[in-house]
Amino acid sequence: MSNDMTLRGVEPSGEEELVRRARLGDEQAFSALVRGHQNDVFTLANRLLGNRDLAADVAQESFIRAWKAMPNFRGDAKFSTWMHRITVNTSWTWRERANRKATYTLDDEFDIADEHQLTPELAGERAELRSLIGAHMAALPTSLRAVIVLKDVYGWSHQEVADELGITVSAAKVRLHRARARLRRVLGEKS
Amino acid sequence: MRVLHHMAQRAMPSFVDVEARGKLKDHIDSCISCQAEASRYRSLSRIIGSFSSEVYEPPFDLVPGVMASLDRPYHEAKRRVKAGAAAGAAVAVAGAVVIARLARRRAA
Repeated sequence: MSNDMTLRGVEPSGEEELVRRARLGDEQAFSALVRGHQNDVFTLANRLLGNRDLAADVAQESFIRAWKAMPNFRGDAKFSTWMHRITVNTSWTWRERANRKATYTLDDEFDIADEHQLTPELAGERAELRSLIGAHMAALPTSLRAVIVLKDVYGWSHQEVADELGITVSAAKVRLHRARARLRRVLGEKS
Repeated sequence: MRVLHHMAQRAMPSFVDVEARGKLKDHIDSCISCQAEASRYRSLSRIIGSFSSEVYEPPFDLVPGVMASLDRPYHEAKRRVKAGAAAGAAVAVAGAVVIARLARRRAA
């Protein structure tokens, strides 16, 4: 994964020590890790789900899952990379859970309807092109958004995206293609 | 020419990652419309990539919420299991030593 999340304000060696202590059940050390990574975990969840409230729940559950799995964390990957994977996994669980409930519908129909409300004329009046694309990205169907977020924002490989989302590499490429094509429409004839 | 143009336009979203090859590349190199389209996709890619520097502020109660929800007995249970396993292993080793000594005595 090319995108690198590092614990803000703590040296890598300091983070290693925190991880070592957290693995032994040191809550203070784990709390420091949560504080250091909360922005990144929440940001990833928010980008994947396009919903702040859900992202907060997912971030919380991701850290709780991490705590439970700490004794098994061998340190082969960075803690940040490990948290990324847990967050993607948790987001997917929550997405399926939310789709089963009536209160949140993160299915494609809802997302497409949402996307259509964001016409370039309406959004363009109050935002720059960048925020317009960000808004359309947030309104993409979750299955497309997850792929473009992990590949184009976080720099994951097709293989990593496929593995983490439980899809084939071909499916990951097709979804990425579709997501880019949809966002391309936002640009119109601008370059 | 028209077929190539159509194919190039359809494949354009993937050309951000993979360079067009062969006849498609030849077409794009000579087609102003396709070059403009490729340029739009590159712009789009740059804009999307720039989101990596954006950070969303989590709710202020995220950390306390996490810490209040930790399954404390989990680690304690793990430690107990580890201690139990270590004690079990010690007993097994001691047992093996005793059996080995008895066997030696019998042999003598």
